[in-house]
Amino acid sequence: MDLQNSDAIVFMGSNMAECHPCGFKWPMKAKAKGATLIHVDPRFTRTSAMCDQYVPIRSGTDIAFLGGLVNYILTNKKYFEEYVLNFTNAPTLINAGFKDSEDNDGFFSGFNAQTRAYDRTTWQYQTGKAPDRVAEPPAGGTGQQKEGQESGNLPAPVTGSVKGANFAALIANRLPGVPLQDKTLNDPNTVFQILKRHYARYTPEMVEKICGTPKELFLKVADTLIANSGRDKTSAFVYAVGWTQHTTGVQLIRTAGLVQLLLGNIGRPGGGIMALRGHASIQGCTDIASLYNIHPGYLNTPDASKTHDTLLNYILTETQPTSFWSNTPAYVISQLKAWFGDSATADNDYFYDTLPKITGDHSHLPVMVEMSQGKIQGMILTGQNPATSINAGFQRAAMAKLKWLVVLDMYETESSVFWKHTDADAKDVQTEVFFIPAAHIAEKDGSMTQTQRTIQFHHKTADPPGDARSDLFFWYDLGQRLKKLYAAGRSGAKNVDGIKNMTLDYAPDPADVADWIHKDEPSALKIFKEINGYDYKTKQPLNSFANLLADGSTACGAWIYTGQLQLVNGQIVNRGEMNPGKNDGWVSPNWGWAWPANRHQLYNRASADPAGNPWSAKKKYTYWDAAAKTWKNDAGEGIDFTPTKDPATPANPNGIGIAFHSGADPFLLKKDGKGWLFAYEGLSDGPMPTHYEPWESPVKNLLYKQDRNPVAKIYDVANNKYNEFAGTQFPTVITTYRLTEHHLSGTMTRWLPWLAELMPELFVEISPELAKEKDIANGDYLRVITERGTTEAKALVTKRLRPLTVNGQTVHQVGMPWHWGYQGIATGDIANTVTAFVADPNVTIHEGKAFTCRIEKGRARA
Amino acid sequence: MSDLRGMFVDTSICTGCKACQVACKQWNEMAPGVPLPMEDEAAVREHRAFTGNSYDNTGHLSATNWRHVKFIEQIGPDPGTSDRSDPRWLMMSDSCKHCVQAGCLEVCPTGALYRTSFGSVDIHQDVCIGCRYCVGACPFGVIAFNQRTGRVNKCILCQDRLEIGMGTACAKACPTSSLTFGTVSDLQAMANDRVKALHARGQTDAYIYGWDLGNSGTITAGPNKGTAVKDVEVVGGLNVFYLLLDKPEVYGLPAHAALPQRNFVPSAGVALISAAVLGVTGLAAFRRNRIAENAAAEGGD
Amino acid sequence: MPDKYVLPPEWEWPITIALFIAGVASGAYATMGLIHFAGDKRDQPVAWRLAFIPLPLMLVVPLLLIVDLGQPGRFLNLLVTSPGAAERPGPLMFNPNSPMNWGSWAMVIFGAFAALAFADALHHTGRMRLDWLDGLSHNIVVLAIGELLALVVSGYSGVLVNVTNQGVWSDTWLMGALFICFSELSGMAVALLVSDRMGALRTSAALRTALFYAAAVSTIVLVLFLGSLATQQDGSLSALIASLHEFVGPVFWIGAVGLALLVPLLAFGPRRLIPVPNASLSLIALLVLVGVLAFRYAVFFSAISFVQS
Ligand SMILES: Nc1nc2c(c(=O)[nH]1)N[C@H]1C(S)=C(S)[C@@H](COP(=O)(O)OP(=O)(O)OC[C@H]3O[C@@H](n4cnc5c(=O)[nH]c(N)nc54)[C@H](O)[C@@H]3O)O[C@H]1N2
Ligand SMILES: Nc1nc2c(c(=O)[nH]1)N[C@H]1C(S)=C(S)[C@@H](COP(=O)(O)OP(=O)(O)OC[C@H]3O[C@@H](n4cnc5c(=O)[nH]c(N)nc54)[C@H](O)[C@@H]3O)O[C@H]1N2
Ligand code: SF4
Ligand code: SF4
Ligand code: SF4
Ligand code: SF4
Ligand code: SF4
Ligand SMILES: [Mo]
Repeated sequence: MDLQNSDAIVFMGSNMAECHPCGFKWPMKAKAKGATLIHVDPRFTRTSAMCDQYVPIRSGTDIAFLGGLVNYILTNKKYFEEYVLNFTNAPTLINAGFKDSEDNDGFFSGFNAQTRAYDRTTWQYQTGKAPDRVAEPPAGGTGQQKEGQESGNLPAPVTGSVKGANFAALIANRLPGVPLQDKTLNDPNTVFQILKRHYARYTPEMVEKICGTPKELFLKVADTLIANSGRDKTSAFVYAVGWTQHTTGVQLIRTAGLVQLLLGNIGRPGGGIMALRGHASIQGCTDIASLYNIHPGYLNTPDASKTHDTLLNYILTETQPTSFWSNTPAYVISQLKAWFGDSATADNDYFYDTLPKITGDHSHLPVMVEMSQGKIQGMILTGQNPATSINAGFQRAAMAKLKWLVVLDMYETESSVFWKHTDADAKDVQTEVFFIPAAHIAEKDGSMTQTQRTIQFHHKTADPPGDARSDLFFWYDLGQRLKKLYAAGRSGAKNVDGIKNMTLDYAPDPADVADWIHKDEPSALKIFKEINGYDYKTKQPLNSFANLLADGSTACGAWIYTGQLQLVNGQIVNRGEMNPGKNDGWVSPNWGWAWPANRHQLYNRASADPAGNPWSAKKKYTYWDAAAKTWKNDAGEGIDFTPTKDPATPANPNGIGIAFHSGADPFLLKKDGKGWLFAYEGLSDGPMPTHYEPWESPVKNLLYKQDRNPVAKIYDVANNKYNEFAGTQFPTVITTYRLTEHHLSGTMTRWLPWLAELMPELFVEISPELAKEKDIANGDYLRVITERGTTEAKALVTKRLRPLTVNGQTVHQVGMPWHWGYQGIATGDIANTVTAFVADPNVTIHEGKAFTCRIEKGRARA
Repeated sequence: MSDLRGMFVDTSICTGCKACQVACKQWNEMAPGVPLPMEDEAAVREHRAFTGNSYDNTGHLSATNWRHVKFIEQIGPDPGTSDRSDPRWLMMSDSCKHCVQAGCLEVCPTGALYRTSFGSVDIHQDVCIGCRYCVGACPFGVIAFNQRTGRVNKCILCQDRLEIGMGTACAKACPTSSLTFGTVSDLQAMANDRVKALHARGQTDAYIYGWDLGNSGTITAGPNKGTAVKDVEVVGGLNVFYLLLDKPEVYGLPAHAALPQRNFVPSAGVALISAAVLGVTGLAAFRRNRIAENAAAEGGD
Repeated sequence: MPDKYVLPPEWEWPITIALFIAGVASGAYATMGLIHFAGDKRDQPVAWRLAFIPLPLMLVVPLLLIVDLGQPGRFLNLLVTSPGAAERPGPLMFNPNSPMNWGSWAMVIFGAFAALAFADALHHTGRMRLDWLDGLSHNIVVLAIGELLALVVSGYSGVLVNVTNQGVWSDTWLMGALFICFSELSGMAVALLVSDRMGALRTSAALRTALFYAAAVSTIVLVLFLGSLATQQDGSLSALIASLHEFVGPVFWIGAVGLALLVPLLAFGPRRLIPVPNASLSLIALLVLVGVLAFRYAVFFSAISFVQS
């Protein structure tokens, strides 16, 4: 929504007009106010049609494009100097042993060819001396300090329970040294100089050579961005899965981060990098984790490979002494208290031991790979349709190895009848499938969190048909049954205690279900309250995560959501409830409730200069009111900073958490309070984004000997063969995407005649030039062929796609929406038959946006 | 008349999302005589077809498509070449224009078509005899015969919603407010501002189709680049009118729509004359024969 | 102006035949009147026989129209204001702007005159003595009014297609004239048929000439029609060509032009280009009738939708 305040917006890796049609009204508002809209996309889409500039690009080369912007900004000294100097880590000194990919054929220092992984020691900051460590009293009575186990400059892990542990002291004892800086930016080891060297070869000419983007179009984008950034202008980037679905996805987005930090567009109105999230509540799915590696509120899942043996060590490992994450102990313990209730005490470490620990990457792709190897017995699918997703044939074959499969859905999805389309003969598939009819969103209470982290609570409008039930009911019922089964189990056994003691007290209040047929639907509001957090004694909701304590006196499912329910003079107010029509000002603070603490614009302290004054009258947002000695925001925005911390406050080497930062450091969640141009930790494929070709590309890497991301996740298994890299067999670049008319695998749209008739059949968009080469006429059938398989579609010949000149050679690109399958009204081939399991090393997202194929005329099957 | 209701269709901000098209079908599923697209899945399966005409797979306005979104690809000045300079993808959501002087209304012999108190043109389904005269009379090919009901259908400006003080369903659904419902006078003011704003932005192609608000400009891209355009009042004004960025024909709209009535009196007049001539020649024929006859008789004696 | 954007009304066989028959009926009545006016005592038997024809035909017409509309009850909405159309004044439905309304009413009233003529025929052919008719049936005024109505009946559908936005149809003012000409041709053809059957040589001779004149006039009108299409710069003529698609083209040229116009012109012209033995008069009359039908067909089936393309 803040996009309406932008002076320029670059849509890149997003087709916002088609995929977020309602949200798109905000950029349109900006345009009406005179903003320049730019779309950088392999295809000319309905978004391009709304933009002032359309810039073609070869799929998977965005880092080269954005790196080109970084280089252009640095070499022409167009960066926002005061912002960069004070708010980013540009002046910070990096370990002299660091070796850049530029000087190392595309590898950073620390690469281990055997493990295909990096050791990050040489990427670290140069720091002053850390405070002296004091010997730690054995916590929880029993334990003692182990001998000589100094890991790095940190004290050894301790044993014992959290009982009586003095977290403040423990954290203080783990404070690092202060990072060293050179404010002149001249030292060759400063991030600034390293960055400059790293991107020196990303020239406009190189961008044209790699991306196939005409130089003048690239320069126009660069100049537009620069002209619309600075003290009184801000520009925004908008992306979605056109950026994420790459073997370099995370780095790709980081490159935009670099551009925005250099231009001073982070933490300011109309600035930022807008991540348009998926589905309707995929944001909520990540917050209240449906991901294997995080617990609700972005707390890491206990991991067998880390020092997570006890709760105490888990907390000490996970707590960051010098960032907002210093509050981790309170969040972790409140969460355990919420889950295990009365019997969870310091004495039994709040049943931490009963939590399962992860032993590696358990995300979708590797799990399906294990499934294909028969290592997995059963699967419960709720709201997912993998039978049509990445390398669909492989996934269906894997499902055929299951003993049992439960599908909760509103329609008979491809997955629920996957055996119809496996290579195996249907009768040979032994999997027992249970289909459980699910309730539709309108048939149940609940909340959803949209793409701007705004939480909205919705109410049931009708009973679900037949014996369809909410997912909540299914999981709640399953939990209750398990508790019954384990009730008699032997105490002391971890798994038994865990299940036995789950609170699961979501039984509905009779009044709430009075009007409905189903009287036993669990209360979504009770769960909403548990997530919000409450005082364990009074059971009253807590208004802020600041109220959370590490002593078991508060319970909270996800600290970031604390405040969605509020206690206002005795009355509980649900801030998730809509106040319709209440569009007040820039952020509409009363429209839903944005976590954390209704802060819509994160790091918004950066909207004021180091001294706390607005950068300009036009872009006045959060600022320091010297008279009142507090931070203010006239738009009613939640201030993402310590409300009374004077901008002049110096950094305190002995301060815990954000007290470690100075009053000028906006980035609360960062260990040094700075925006990171150089990420010395957190990324497995390098501290700075580097251009690698997609795993499947028709051309070699023009910048480095190393063609592809050296640590990309690859799956060398049967039926997942990769196309020859830079070979002749698969010369055409292909990307997959969405259409406004359909939703994802199409279950929610291909079943509806009104939508089905709008986009009735699978098609592939190809340029007239390629069509001519292949003698394909508009509407003809064609085949898309990769090592994984063949997909049949009709040709939509359109000049909206264009051949690109990449390093002198012509490269054709085609695009294929992926909404079709063999169920429903509008049926068609599955696009994902041709995609492969190959993924980004940081988050294991597949590379569905850039791969190669061969296009042939005619049908796949007679 | 300020109580005239209509819609302003600003094609410059239409993203072609088709929400309007679906909203129309959804709402009017309740209207009598409209075949429900959902009724018969097999039929829908049968009916659906990929047209290859850009993103338009529903063809044109019909008895079951009261609203239809058009897609016009103009990637470069000449579709035949690979020149892709100043690419445009024009989109336009079309429906009944609720003409101030409506051809369909004028010719309807039963009073099935009528002018509502909102100035729109509605159909009494229970009066229509399905004579289809209105179909050939609408200058825009809007109103269409419905084989299933034996009557005609078209957009009725959500008469049922208007009667209970609501706006039109399609405009309600439009995320970019490319469709705006309101009183025609307000909409005209809004449209005028919009054109001015676009011109100020350098988008001089913008002009109004339906009313003459005095704007004129030049097309900036596509095959007609450089052509001058100006506001056109169409058949006495359209209560549902458009902001266009290219010549009307490009959007499948007539450059000069006309009322069927223009031919009535002349045609009838000419018919009478021809009848008179025929009468005279008829009489002449008999006279001639009789004279010939008598001549022969005299000669005979 | 040929307008790409108009949908075709899809008027097909039932309408074509209905309007053809109405044309024959009104044409026959007109010719009957003509004989009364122009002929003498010895022509009258033909006139009386001819008078039998309009009524039965006019009874078939509504049936065909109902078949086409598929809504028997609704047919009345053309004449009586339906309660559903509350905003229309008065109990009777009449929209002066709608040729179809003119036509409906004309047909109804004309029906009455056709009935009168029928009775008159019964009377004079001695099948039934209805002396009270004597004063009435040959009353100039009555005949004149009947003629006028016949005229509207045969012409209104032509004016109607003029009063649309269909390409070609609405591009000239001459459709009404053409329709009148062709129904007159059909009427005279029927008359010729009758008189030929009755062996009324004198009347037949006169009718041959009349038919020749009528064909001549019709030809002139058709030429004017094509001419006025050609003079319109925005391609009406090409629209005509386009509209004469598939089967319609041959039917128009061979049927409408060939049979309905050329045949009588050549057969009955002063120069006797084709010598016609009296025996084959009926045949020619029949050819003309077929030609007129072909004309109706060509008109209604030429309406095509450009929108699809
Ligand atoms: N109507 C509709 N809306 C949806 C969805 C839907 O299925 N239908 N899905 C929802 C979900 S789950 C998600 S995740 C979002 C996704 O939203 P988007 O990411 O916007 O959706 P996509 O169409 O997959 O991809 C966006 C664009 O990325 C372009 N692209 C492909 N490769 C590249 C590349 O290498 N570089 C650049 N710069 N662009 C590239 C594609 O051409 C496409 O136009 O949409 C959400 N909204
Ligand atoms: N090639 C290619 N592949 C892609 C992508 C791409 O861009 N290209 N996009 C990827 C992305 S971003 C995503 S998000 C995934 C999506 O992939 P999936 O999530 O597997 O596909 P969906 O169609 O979203 O499946 C959602 C299912 O949930 C059901 N459902 C809806 N509401 C409810 C509910 O309340 N309860 C229950 N139990 N079920 C419900 C729907 O009927 C539907 O069957 O696809 C990925 N796959
Ligand atoms: S999720 Fe629904 S409301 Fe949100 S943009 Fe998509 S269509 Fe619009
Ligand atoms: S657009 Fe056509 S149907 Fe609509 S009112 Fe005008 S003439 Fe009638
Ligand atoms: S079809 Fe119905 S609405 Fe159209 S003119 Fe005939 S009666 Fe009137
Ligand atoms: S106004 Fe109503 S009837 Fe007309 S198109 Fe919109 S939704 Fe359909
Ligand atoms: S809803 Fe609005 S934006 Fe979408 S197609 Fe219709 S008019 Fe265009
Ligand atoms: Mo997604």
